[in-house]
Amino acid sequence: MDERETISVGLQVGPIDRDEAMRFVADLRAGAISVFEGVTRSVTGKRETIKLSYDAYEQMAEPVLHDILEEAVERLDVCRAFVRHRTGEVPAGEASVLIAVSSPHRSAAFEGCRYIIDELKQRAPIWKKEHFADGGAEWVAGKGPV
Amino acid sequence: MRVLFFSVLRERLGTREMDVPIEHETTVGDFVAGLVEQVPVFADYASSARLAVNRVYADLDTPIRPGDEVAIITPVSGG
Repeated sequence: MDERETISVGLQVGPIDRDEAMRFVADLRAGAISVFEGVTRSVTGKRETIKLSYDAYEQMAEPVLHDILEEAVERLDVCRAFVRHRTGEVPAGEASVLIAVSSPHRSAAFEGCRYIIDELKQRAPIWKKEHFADGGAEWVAGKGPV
Repeated sequence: MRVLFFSVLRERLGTREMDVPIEHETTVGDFVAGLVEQVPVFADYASSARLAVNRVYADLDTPIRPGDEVAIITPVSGG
């Protein structure tokens, strides 16, 4: 096994580089790579969303994400895992979060992505505000942490 | 002691950070009760928010000491 880090975590302003994610999770032990992107949805019910803006407690979010990816590597049969989450504004159609996971077989790659996004939404100190075409804006109330 | 606010609370308070002096060790539960008195807007969020002490989620009986970094974590909505 080579000596590279097995996880990569970051918050950033501006678009996320998919190629960087694919390069990071590439692994000769892996037979599967799964990618999840969370994208700003324009249509929710009757209201049109033009963008989201994200606030984050960055000094805590990075270690929380680090823990979540480590859990995925330890509990599932995951080789490498990568996550980037944007802060600031994310226009409709762009990804606010990208997760990539490599594993020997496909089930762990799918499970890894699901575990990471579910835990991120529950535990990462990050908040989104929805900005509507009608000029309104509201903070989205989440459910976690519990 | 530094107290950090984010998202809706930061917006309503107009600040991301407040200095709240404490002289002695306290607990998260007692600190929250005091903060509700000092910062009335916080009362709207006190029951749904979690606190983080030194960047780790805390429980009501977690100790807070002078110099700690305390953050008010209203229900998160990342992703």
